[in-house]
Amino acid sequence: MTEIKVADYIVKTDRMYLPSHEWVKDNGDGTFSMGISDYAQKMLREISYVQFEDVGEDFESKDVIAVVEALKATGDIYAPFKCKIIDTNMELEDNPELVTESPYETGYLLKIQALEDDRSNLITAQAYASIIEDELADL
Amino acid sequence: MTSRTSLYQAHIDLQADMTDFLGFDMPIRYKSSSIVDEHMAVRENVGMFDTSHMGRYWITGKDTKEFLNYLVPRDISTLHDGMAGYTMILNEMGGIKDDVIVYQLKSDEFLLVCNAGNRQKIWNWIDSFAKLWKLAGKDFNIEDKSDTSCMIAVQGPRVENIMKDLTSDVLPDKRFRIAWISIGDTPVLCSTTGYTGEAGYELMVFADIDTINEKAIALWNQLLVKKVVPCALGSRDTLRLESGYCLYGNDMDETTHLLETGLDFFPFVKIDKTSGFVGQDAVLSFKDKVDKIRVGFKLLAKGIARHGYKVFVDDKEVGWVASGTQSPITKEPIGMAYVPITHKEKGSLFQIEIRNKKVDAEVIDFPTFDTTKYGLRRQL
Repeated sequence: MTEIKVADYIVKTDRMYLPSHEWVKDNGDGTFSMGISDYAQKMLREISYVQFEDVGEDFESKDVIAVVEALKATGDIYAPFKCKIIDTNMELEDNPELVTESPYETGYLLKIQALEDDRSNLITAQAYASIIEDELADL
Repeated sequence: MTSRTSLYQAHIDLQADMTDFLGFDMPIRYKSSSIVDEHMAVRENVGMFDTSHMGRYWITGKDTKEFLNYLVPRDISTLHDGMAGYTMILNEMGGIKDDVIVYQLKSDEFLLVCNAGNRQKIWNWIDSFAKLWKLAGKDFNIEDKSDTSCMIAVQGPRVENIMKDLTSDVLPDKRFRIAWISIGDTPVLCSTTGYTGEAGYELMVFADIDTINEKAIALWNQLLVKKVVPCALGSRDTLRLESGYCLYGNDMDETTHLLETGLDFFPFVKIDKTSGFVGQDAVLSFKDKVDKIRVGFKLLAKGIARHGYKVFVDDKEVGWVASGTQSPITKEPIGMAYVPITHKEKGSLFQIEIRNKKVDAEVIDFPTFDTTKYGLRRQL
């Protein structure tokens, strides 16, 4: 099983999540890729721009490191742990709709390097799927 | 507790995302379309909006026109039967209580349409003056028909074809005209007004509280059958912003002086109207004191400038963003801001702070789209 489906929303099981709807994927070399979940992009809809904090800068856990701007909403992207931004997805500059088309692959947001070994904010795909279920039940 | 318009069930049936808009449970977009889809339907084809949440006050009696002329800064003595005019209602300080449209059906029969969020406030305001006028022996009567009527704005370049399919009556042709027509057996008040920058009609049906839902939905369904695209508040906002129309509460309120809105021109306003109007003294005495003004802008980098963001010139905070979005037509980030009067001319530069970063912005004209291709004056 590589994904869980909650209603219309796909949760990939090959990565971890934040309760605030970001995914975090371990690249195996001390770096992590990050993006937003399928659920998050469908809730934001019509993503028009992603603003990043600066590459090379250090952030504390839960600092805002990027902002996803949609026509009617904005979504803050939080640092999952103490980290440095090492790369941002430049493709999004001209094609922000990639986040909508492929939130888990080509529509990733950025790459970070962990500056400490603390994964306590991260949750499993299964745990994230139940967060979506809870949110849907509240709608 | 939110209110519902007579078209609430139509929105639910179309599986709209609903939101609390100024106390009304309203659609923000429909299930089968995005905001951009709905926006482009209006720019290129034809779309419809439920605007029933707005206030509709029916004012009759021989002194109505004189009374309304006192309430607003526009000279409505020049209106004729079947004409409508956009204007404002001011407080005594010259601030904006609301922006409204006054419709003259007959010399002694008028309709006033105000914003949804201001219904009670405007009713109370008008009523306070009406009481005084009536004590002085003036003859007019005000009736709130907001909850017993519906209003559907049908907008877009293909609108006339749709309407000609629905009625054999003569439609009002010029902008800001109003006429009774029949669609099937239903009398419909049809005005050539709108909030999109496109040709269009606003259709109103008046009934009673027991039958209005049924009549409203019947009209909505007739338009649906003609493939008019249901459009909601999300696209209503992007359409009005591209066209440069103000949204009360965002772009102006009681603390915004008429002269700061830049809307103080003929025919919306005649500040030296000899018959006088509420707020006139304040407006006249403020004439040489205006130091900030509403302008249109586009960002010179990516981002969306949203309501309340700060405006800077030379690192000094000098103003604020009223509204901002990304234009679905040009894809540019656009908006309205209040800036120093020294920066009101097209091409003037300032900065907007977006999440701790200052982004360059330039004053532009409205509408922000190519007017030869889109909007009222397009070349067909």
